[in-house]
Amino acid sequence: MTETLLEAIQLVFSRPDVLGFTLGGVVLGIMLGILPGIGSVMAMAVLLPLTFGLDSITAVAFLIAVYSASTYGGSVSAILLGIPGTAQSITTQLEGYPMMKAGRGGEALTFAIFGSAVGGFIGLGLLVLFAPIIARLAFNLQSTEYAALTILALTLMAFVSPGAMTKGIISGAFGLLLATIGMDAMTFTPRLDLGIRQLRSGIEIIPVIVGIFGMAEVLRGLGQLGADAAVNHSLAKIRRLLPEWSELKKTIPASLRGGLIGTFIGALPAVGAPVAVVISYAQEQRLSRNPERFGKGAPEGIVGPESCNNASVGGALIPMMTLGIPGNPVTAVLLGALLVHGLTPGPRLFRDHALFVSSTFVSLGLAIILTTVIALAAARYFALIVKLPNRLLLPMIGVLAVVGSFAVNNSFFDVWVMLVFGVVGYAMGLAGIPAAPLVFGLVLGPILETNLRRALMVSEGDPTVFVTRPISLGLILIAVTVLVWPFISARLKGSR
Amino acid sequence: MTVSARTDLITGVVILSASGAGLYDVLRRAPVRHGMMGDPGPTFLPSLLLYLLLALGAALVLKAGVDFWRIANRAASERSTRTATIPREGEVSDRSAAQWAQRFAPPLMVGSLVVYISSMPVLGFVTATFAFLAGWGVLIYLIESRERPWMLWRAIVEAAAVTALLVFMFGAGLRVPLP
Repeated sequence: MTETLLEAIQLVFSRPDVLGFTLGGVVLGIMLGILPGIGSVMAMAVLLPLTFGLDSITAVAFLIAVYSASTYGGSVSAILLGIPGTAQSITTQLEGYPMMKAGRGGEALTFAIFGSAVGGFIGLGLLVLFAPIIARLAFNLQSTEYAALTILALTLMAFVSPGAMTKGIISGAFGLLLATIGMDAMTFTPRLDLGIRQLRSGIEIIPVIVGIFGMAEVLRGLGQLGADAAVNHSLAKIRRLLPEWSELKKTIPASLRGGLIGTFIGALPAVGAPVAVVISYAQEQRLSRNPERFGKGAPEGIVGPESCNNASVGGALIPMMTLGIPGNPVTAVLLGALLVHGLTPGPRLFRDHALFVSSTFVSLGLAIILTTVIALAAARYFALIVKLPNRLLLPMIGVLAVVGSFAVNNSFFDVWVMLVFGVVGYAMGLAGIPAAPLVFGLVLGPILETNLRRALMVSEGDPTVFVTRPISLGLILIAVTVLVWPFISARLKGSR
Repeated sequence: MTVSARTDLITGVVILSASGAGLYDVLRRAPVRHGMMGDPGPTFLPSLLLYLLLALGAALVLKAGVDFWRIANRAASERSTRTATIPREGEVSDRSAAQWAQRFAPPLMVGSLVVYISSMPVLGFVTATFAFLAGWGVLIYLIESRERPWMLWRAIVEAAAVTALLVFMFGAGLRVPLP
């Protein structure tokens, strides 16, 4: 592993295209992350087509840079405007915005940059350390375990979906159903194709992702035009950038704690950064000697969750790269990109494409360094990006969605698929149905179906095969607990 | 709650109808065999999922029904305490652009995208994209900044610049095939 890693460092740093695209990815990632409403998922979805003409190493370096940098970018609008650019920046807003109002916006940005850098490297370190071990262990997993793992991932995604769990399950089941459209991989029988020739080869993941996360957001954004005219952009002025060293030093333990929490929770399929940052924030408040400062501009309340947020990038890559199970919607997009480039994530990726895996690690490290440098150098100009007008942004994302979905197969059919799923995503938003489980279902569908059917065939139709193998039993038990816990919890509260 | 119950009812009915139709189609199709546990065929998972969606759709309809029943029970007591909200002077006109956007902008975008995508093989990517971006730029400008309509030209120049940027970035720079 060390040899391959050194080879990858040499490869990445000797190729100007990889370096250039990583830098470009960082700049675009920060800019898109800063814009409220455009999170990492949408940034990745709309920039994905840029990678189609690139080789796999450059493409993944670019996307990983976008992912890592947009994760940081979300905190900028949270601090400068009090509007979290991403869901996981909510806690940064709680502490950063009061600091901004007190004239310490620049220092708050530096705290966020510091936390992001420390967390990013903790996540990367644990990814490099644990991913090869998990990949080796994953070779021992059989169909039953893979099917159980997929069911657990989907159950968790439904459980953590905002709003009702039922709607999360509906979304996941719909995604799984979409994955079954087209030719059956085991018997080569066409199914659910509605007589449409193009559907026989199944639904492409990329147009669905671009539609659900890109186009649906454009439609939602248009529906909110004129409603937030009262947002005060004039506050975004930055004076002093660097905080006192003594103050920064006190936040080091928070950054380490946040990094560990972020990596481990980020690695859990479907739980992800928003949950991790809330846990990290609560932890910092609990451990603080002055908990009353929280909510009024406590630096640990920025550094801990920001570290956690960025560590979750490395954490989320662990299940995606080792098992082919995406940890969050962003890694689902990344997984789609890998498939476009002919790479299937999973244990075999580590064995057959070791150099690619190592160069992905190196690219992530490079992206963290570049994000830190660019964020520090450009902090004073961030306020300008936040002011990018809707009249430019929303139609441009619409065009990018069209270009992106066309570029997958040079086919207008994929563009129509994107548009249909844009409308579906918008309608799902109106109905309160979360979109992320649908994408998870679509990505995990083939894994679930193949392994479920294989396990049943091997066991000659005996469904107890899922509870007689210890790992599979454990995973199924967790999934069942997750499903029934809300009812038990409600019962317990009622009886009290 | 009424809005939520109504949304749940509509969602439930849509899911019930769609999954019912899907299940009928899956089970009806001759070449497609309904799989058994020992030898699960190609329709094993789809039919399992359609049954699940059917059940969840029914659960949503049921939940909406219970919510409506609760609302009906509460209605009488609430009626006596309810006070009408009268909009303040100027409020309606201030909100009109936002209300218009909320209702009509999303379907208008879908319609314009249909026209944009359909017209691309005829007009070409550059012309169609410029027209699409300029149209929306002007419209959003009018919704957001009605007090300065003389600045509309900016939206058109921006549309031209963005079109050029996209062609340069995707077409010339990255060689991504443009529609």
